Formats: sequence, C-alpha cells, structure tokens
Amino acid sequence: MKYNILQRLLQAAAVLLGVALLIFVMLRIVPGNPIATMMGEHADAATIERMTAELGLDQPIPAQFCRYIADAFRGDFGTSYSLGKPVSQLMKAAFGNTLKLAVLAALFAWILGIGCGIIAAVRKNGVFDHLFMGVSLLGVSMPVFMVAMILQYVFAYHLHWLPISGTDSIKGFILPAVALGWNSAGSVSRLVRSTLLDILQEAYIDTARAKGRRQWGVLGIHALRNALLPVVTMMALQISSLLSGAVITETIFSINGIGRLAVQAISGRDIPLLQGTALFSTAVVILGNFLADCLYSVLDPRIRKEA
Amino acid sequence: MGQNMLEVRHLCASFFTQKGEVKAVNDVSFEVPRGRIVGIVGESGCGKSMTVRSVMRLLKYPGKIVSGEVMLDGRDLMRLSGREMAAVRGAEVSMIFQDPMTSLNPVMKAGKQVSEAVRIHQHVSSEEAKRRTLEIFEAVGIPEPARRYDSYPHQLSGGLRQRVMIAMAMICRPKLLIADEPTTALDVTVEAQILRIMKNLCGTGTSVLIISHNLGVIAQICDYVYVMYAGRIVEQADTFTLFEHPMHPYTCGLLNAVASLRLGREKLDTIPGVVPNLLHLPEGCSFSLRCEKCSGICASKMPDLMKTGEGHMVRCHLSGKGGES
Amino acid sequence: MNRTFSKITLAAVMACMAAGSAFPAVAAEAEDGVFRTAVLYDISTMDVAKTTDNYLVPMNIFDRLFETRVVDGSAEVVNSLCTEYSVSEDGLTYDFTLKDGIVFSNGSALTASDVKYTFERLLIAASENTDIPLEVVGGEALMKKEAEELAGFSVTDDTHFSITLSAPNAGFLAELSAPAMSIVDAETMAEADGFGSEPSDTIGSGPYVVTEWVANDHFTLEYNDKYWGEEPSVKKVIVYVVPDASTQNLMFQNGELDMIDLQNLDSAIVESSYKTTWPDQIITNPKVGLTYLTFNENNEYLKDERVRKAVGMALDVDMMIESIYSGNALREHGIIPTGIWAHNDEMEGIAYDPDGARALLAEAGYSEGEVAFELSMDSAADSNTQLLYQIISQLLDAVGIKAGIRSYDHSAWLDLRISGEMDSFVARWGMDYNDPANIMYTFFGSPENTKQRSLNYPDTETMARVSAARAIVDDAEREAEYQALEQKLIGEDVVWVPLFEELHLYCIGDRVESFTPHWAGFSDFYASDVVLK
Repeated sequence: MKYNILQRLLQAAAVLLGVALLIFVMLRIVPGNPIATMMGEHADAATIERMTAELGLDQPIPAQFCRYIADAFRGDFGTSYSLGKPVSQLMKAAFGNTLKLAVLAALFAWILGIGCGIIAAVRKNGVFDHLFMGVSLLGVSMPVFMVAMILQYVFAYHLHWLPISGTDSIKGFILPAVALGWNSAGSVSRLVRSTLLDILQEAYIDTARAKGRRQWGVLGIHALRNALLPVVTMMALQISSLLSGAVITETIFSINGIGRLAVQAISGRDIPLLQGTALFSTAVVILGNFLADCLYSVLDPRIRKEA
Repeated sequence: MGQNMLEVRHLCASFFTQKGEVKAVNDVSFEVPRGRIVGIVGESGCGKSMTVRSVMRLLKYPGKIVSGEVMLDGRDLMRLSGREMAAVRGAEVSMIFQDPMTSLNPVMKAGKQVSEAVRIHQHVSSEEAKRRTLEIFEAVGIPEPARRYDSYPHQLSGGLRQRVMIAMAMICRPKLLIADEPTTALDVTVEAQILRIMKNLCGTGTSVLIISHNLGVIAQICDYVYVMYAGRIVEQADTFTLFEHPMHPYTCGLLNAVASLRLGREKLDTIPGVVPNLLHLPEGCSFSLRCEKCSGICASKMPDLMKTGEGHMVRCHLSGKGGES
Repeated sequence: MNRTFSKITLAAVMACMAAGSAFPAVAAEAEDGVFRTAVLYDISTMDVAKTTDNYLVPMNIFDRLFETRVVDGSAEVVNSLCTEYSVSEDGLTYDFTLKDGIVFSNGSALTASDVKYTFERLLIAASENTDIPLEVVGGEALMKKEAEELAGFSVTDDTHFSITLSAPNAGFLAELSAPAMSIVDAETMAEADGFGSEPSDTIGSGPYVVTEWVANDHFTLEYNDKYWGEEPSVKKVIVYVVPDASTQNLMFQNGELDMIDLQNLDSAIVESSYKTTWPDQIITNPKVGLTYLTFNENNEYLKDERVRKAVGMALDVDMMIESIYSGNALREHGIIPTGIWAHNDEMEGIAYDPDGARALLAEAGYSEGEVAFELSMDSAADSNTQLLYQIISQLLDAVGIKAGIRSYDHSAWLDLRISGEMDSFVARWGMDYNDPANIMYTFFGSPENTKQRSLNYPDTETMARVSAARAIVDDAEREAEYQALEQKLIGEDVVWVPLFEELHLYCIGDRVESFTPHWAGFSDFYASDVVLK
C-alpha cells in the first residue's frame, strides 16, 4: 500500500509536469499576442513591444519554462495580467469560495440524491419513485443557469430569504450550492436507485432478511454499502469537477471562484492565471481520482491488495 | 404441543405478472415432524423454492402468498405482523440458500455476518456474539475459526462459505432450518460433508426442511419426501417407500432417470416433454401431457391426493393400478 | 412501513420550511451616505500606468491638475490641483501654480516634485500611458534611459513648476485632465510596492480613499477626510463585481444597487422594464466616441475610393440605430464625434442610396458580386456589435458586394489588425480627453498609426497636416484646420464610414437625488458628483 501511494504520487507529479509543459507551449504557439490583448484598444505597438520584453515573453520558450517551474516550486506562479495580483493569492481566495461552494453543493447533491434514490428504489413504482425520478430527470436535464435563475428569482428576489448574490456570509452560498448540486443530485439519485434495485435482487439480501433483518437494516447494513461502490466513482468525478470551478453558477451569483478565474484567464489571454488555474484543475482531478480509489478500497475488500 | 414442528395447510402462492396470475404454489400441504428431515423434490420451476420462501414469507416481487396456513410450532406465521415475522426469521426458522458464492455480503467479514444474526435476536455484547460465532464455526467444521472470522467471503472456498451460511442459520438454534438446494453449487466431496453436518444438526433438536432436485441428496438424509410437480404435491411417502415403491408416473420417471445415469446406460431415460407453462396448464392432470400412461380421465379431471398406504399419498388416477414399472 | 416514509418526508418538508422562515428577510437597506453600484468585470489595477480603461478608482482617489467637467451642458477643462497657468507665445512652455496645502490621504504634502515624479514614472515604469509625457522635452530620452530625468519639466518651488513641450499642442490642458495624468505621491511610491493592487499602498489626494479590494468580488471607496475640496454627499462607495447582467437587474429592482449601468443589460429589458417603470430615473449621456467601419486601402477593391463610397451608400445607418440600439445613438458623419469641441455639425454625410451604390460600382467597372472583402469580427465583441456586422454584411450583399464575416478570437483579431492586414472591421473609439487630436492623430497621424488600425491610408501629405494640426495654438484656426482635414478624409477620400455615437443610459435608485455621468459617457463616474437624498 505504501509503495502504491508513492507510485501514485510520482505519477501525479509527472502528469502535472506534463500538463504544465503542454499548457505552457500551447499558450505560446497559439496566434494572438497576449500583451496586446491585455493592454486593449488604446495601446500602441511600441508600448506592446516594451511590455512584452518587460514580462520576459520575448525569451526562448525553454528558458521561460524553466524559470516558470523554478518559480512555481517556490509558490510563485507569476502575476495575473488581468487582475494585477499574484496568481497564488488570487487562486487562494478563489479556491476558498470554490471549496465552500463545492462542499455545500456536494453535500446537498449527495444527501438528497442518495436519500431520494433509496426511497425510490425501496418503493419502486410507488408515488415517491415516480415523483423523485420525474424531478431527477428534470434535475439532470435542466441547465444549471436555468435552475440558478429560478432559485434566485423565487428565494432571493421574491421571498427575500437569501441574498441575490455575493459571498458576505455563508447564506450567500446556499442558493448557488443548490443550483450547482441540483444536476448532481439528479444523476446520483438515478444511479443509487438503479444500483440499489440491482443489489436488492442479490442473494445476500435474502440472506440478510432470512436472518431477521428488517427493511431498514437490510438497506443500511447490507445493501447500501454495496450500492455505493459505483456511486463513489461518480461522486469522485463530481467533486473533481465541482472543485475545478463552476463558471455559470459563480457568474450568476457573483462568486469569485476558480471557474470564473479560469474563464477570465482564457478570454483575457492571461497567461500566468491560465497556467495557474489549469495546473490547479489538473491537480484536483488527480487528487479526486486518488481519493476515489482509496475510498473504493476501503468500501470494497475485494479490490484491497493482500498486505 | 403437536408432534409437527411445521404444518403447512392449503398454501397457495402466485406470481402476478402482466400476462396474468401464475399459480406457482397450488394448494400445497405438508408437515415437518419434530427432529426430522423432510425433503421436497422436483424439477426447477415446480414451485418448491416458492413454497419454502412462502414459509419464510420472503417471496420476491411479483410473488405473493394468496392463502393458506403456515403453523410453526403451533403458531400461524401468516398472521404475524412484519415486525413479528422478522423476529421469527433467523431465530425460529432460518434458511440457507443454493449458491454460497452470492449468498454472503461481499463487503462484510464472514464472522460479522454470522454474529450479526445473534445480535439481531438476542441482547448480547459483541464479544459474546463473537465467542458464540467462533463456537459454531468450530461446530460446523470451519478450520481456524479465529482467522476465518476476519475473512471476507471472497477469501473463502465454496464449501467454507456454505459452512458459514449453516453457522449463520444455526447460531440462534432455530426450531426449523430450511435448506434450499444447499449443495447444488458444491462439488461432490464437499456435498457429502455439508450433508453430514446438516444431519448432525438435526440431532440437536432442529427440524430440517430440505429442497432439492437431486434425488441422491434426498435419499441420503431425508426421513420423508414430498414430490412436487407444476405447483402441486404429486406424491408423498417416507424415503424408503418412495424409492422402493414409487406410485406416480412422474416419480417413477425421475427415479428411472437417476438409475439410468448410475448404471451408465447408453441412452438416458428421460421424461419426455417439458414442464408445462404454469399460465396454460392442461385441464386435467398437470402431468397428463408427458405421461406415458395417460388415459381419458387424466386429460379432463385433476386427480386428488389419494392414500395408497401408510403415510403414502399419490395424486394419480391410476394409483393402485400399478404405477410401478 | 408506508407510514414511516410519509412521516420522514413530512418531517423533511417541515424542516425545510422551518429553515426557510428562520432566514430573516435579506435587508436591502443601505447605511446613510453609501452609494452602491455594480460592474460586470473587475478592475485589473488601480494604477493608471497599467491600464487604459480601468478608471473608476483612479478618477475618485486621485486628483489631476485639471479636470474635464460638464459646465452648462458642454464639457470644459477646469482647474483642479492647478490654480493658475500661463502659456508662452510660442505655445511651448507652460507655467503652473499648484493649490497650497494639499496633502495626500496619508498626510504627506503634494508638491511640484510629485507632479514631476508622476510624469517621469509614466515613462520609466512599465507603463501603458506614455503619449502625454512623451510630448515633454526629453521624454523620449528618459524612456530610452538615455537621461536621468525629464528635461522639459522644471520645478521652481513646492507649488510652482513649468513644462516645456517639444511641439506646441493646444490640447495639452485637456490631456492633463485625462485619468492617466493622476498625480501620485513620490514618497509613498518609493516605499510601497503594492501601489495599484494593495489598497493601503495606493495613495492619492482625491475625495476618496480605497479601503478594500476583494478581487472579483467588490471594492470599497471611503471619503478621504484630508480632501481639500468640498465634502461630497456620498461618503462610501461600494462597487460589486456582478458578472451576470440579469443578476444586476434583480439587485437593482430589489433596491440593492443605487445605480445600474443600463449598458450592461439587454436593450429589450431596458425598453420594456426600465423605460416604463422608472422613466424619470433614467439618465442619458452621449458615450463620446465614434463607431465606424474601416477600409484597408491595401485591399485590391477597397483601394478604389468609388468602392469605399459605394459601401457607405449601401449602409442604412438610421435603420441600424433604430433596430439595434432602439434609437439610443446619434448619427455621425465625420471623424470628430459629437461632444468634442471641434465637432462639425454641418458635416455632410454619405446618404443611404443603394441604387446609387450599384451605379457607382458599375461606373468603377465592377460587375455584380465581383467586389469582395472580409469583415473581421472580434468574437469578444458585444452582441450589438455582432448584430451590426450581420446587418452590414446583408446590406452590402444587397448592392452586390460580398463582404463575408469572419470571427476571430480577441487576441488573434488584435494581432491581425495591428499587422495592417485586416480588410475591414467595425469598432468604436471612445474619447480619452476632449480634444480632436485624440482620434484624428491616433488614426491618421502617421503611416505607422494608419497601419496599426489596418487603414493603410496612403496620403502622407494629409497625414503630415493631421500631425501638425496638434501644434496650432489658436483655437479657432485649429478647429478650422481639423474640420478641413475631416472634409478631406471623409468627404473626398472616404477613409471610413462613420456610423454613430452611442448614448449611455444609467438608471438611479430611489436614494439618489442626482447623478452626473462622466462627460464622455464612461461607465466610470465621479462619486463626488453624486448627491444622495
């Protein structure tokens, strides 16, 4: 296991370095001068040239890359062109918000999704099953901006229960988390339902009943843990994507998160910020998959390696 | 207190499908005397599994018990609430299933699954439950019980898993053990061991109801046998009588098939035709379509179970007219 | 079992409702003296050396020597930090006197050497605003690091200094009122390296100080109690970064904003909702600047002025204004837009005449569909501009000119334009200061300038005149020359098709008594001009 973790970490480092190189080179070979973009309509050619030299973008790409990696090891990812602040500082602030949003959204999605999935499976073809599956279909198919705007209109604008936008307090995260989690809740509940229905046909469920477990005991102790195996994989993918930022939700609710930062970086050709956010997302996905694997082996003894 | 541990009277259970009601268990009555081993034999699909699952009230959707009484030690299980029935399962009646590979929860330690049965029904500490689990592991012949306790099912062989299942079923010392094809998935040597264990258990006061399509298994351990065909009991007798003097053409067919297999004849004696579709049973005797001795009355009237000897009953118009071949 | 489920569900619903009612209604009430507004994008810096458009913070926390303010309906240059000035006969040397006793918000005095430092910094530091200080004698040398200081800037004492220009420029004072010429504190700058990004390091002498800037979230300005001028009605300005327009709309309707920039919203919402609900609270100001369609004279068809004129005749600009901008734009016929002092009201434009356009093309010897060029579109352009491209392409098609639209990523678009190889594009130039040179010189002042805009105007003689016009000291004479040049460039050479000047609409909330937009219709505003009820 230890060896395994070490191997995984080395792999992760290699992937990160590869991604860094790829982004780095790609950003420098695509057409369009980032400095001209950054300086806007009113800048003249001489100024653009001067700024390009100032930022070291006229140096050969290998030299630039080495400097970037060396700086990155010291935690310095450069200064954003479009926001004028150190990338590390911007990402830290944005990640704080994204983390809160992602955790709340995931909690909402998973509690609701797993709960509804279980009820729908246990009461298959019942009222709740049809209701939940109908709603979850809506959850899966309704675009997030629509959910967000409806929530915003009903709960913030109309009922005044929660703020329209902003992150002054944790309350500001509730609507965005629901909007963001809505989709995931839909897919989680459908997956939980279908897996649970399969599991409930398994012989060991009969065994559990035969030894005197009542319905909730059978579910909670025997069915659920088995049913969660595929769900965990889905959840790991979801949390990775949630942590990589949710542009639409962040935009509608004016949350300064990783997603908006990344889009801002792309549209403004903000090289340092773009590199930073891309590396970050890569790291999050790697970490998410790693955690899913760990969790998987905790949940499923069959794939645990013999010590 | 009567002499029977289990008495099933006029049990009817059906699948309610979109095409209509499928009467999988049709007016079945049988009993398991105290301390005895009773077998139900029949081809797959004859309703024997459904019958014993009805006793446990563990039918799978869309199966449902329609009517009948299931008296366990004088108490009608059909009248119990869900909660009361759950308290009976595992404590008074327990059941082991056909495939030990899939009957154990893959993500739970074997020992835990057994001790769980104790803890559901009796207020004992986890240490006590574990102690008793190790004890019963020993009793069912699981080597190195302490190590096996912490094993996961996938780390155990088929035979060991079935022993774990038996341990689980027996740990609360139930009045009745139901075994649904307990050895079908196991190889022959393991089968013999498992049957021996079950026979021993019977000696400790538990009655056993075993179902099988394998007449060999039945012959080895049963005191009394019921033969089922298309949802009905077609013949019942003590084991010796059944094997020596089978009356029903179906029973005879089954025995011939086994005999031809054992004697290594070139051509296997089989029963012609297939099990009829339960949705479209013939008007008369269910077996009439496959019966070599079928006569006029067979096709028009369902025969009743008729007593042909001491403890021997047969559902055949021809009974007493030389069913023996 | 069924009952258990129902109970659980019921409990869950009740819990949600209880939780809901436990939230107090979110208060839209604002403290006294607070003015709240929203922007779509965060600012990138508070330092004018590093931006050419993020002026909201600099306009409010710094002072300039002069300001351009709307006086009696027209934009005029008025004194600010400077109380008196005089110009030499030759128009080259300016003597300035600073107000006495002015201090920065950190208490240090604002002196003539701070002004000098401001000029020099724009040349030394990696700066985007070098044009104005470059006009001073020695500017070029300082920027190329051939000199230690700005030779043409001499400090007499704390409140007196003079500036010598290398060429006369009648628009110099207007230039000094541009946000880029915000006066910074030499001493603070020497110590703090967070100038422009850290609020505590960004020190000015203006009516406000910036107290907080949370990137992509909000920034806050508060009244500077050391400010030399009158105390403004607004004591605190909170600017939220709200990237979604419909969220801004909800916030304004909910009373969470005291002013909304209607330019951010869909024009349908403005027409249907704002113009009916708050007709008296809408404030309109021209966005001083010009939207134009360019011609690259290196293009084989576009080099023919008859083709250029035919393009102009093919465009029904009034229809564009009506259909895209709901009438919120002024038709323009020249180069110098309405609101700039040399603007020519009499300028005769090219009238919409599709038949005439066809005739003109035929006369030039082109058959139907022969003339073809690319309309290059910046994919980041706003939706109205994108619509504009569509309409132009269709109108040109109607007279037999094939002008297909091609969309470029913003950076690629800029690159292509600067390389001088773009056939034609539509863009808007916003005026930085109230002087015609700001647009005339930028586009037509030199071969290099016309190439950068992909115009490639070949007439070097006219370009020399445009450059020289900056030096004419006499205002009337200068105005006449600019109008003559405009006549030559548009009337004769048809260097571009002038389209219109947009109007900028703002809507103020119930707490606001009056709001005065920036003279040029910027989204940025002087908070000290806002009066709360």
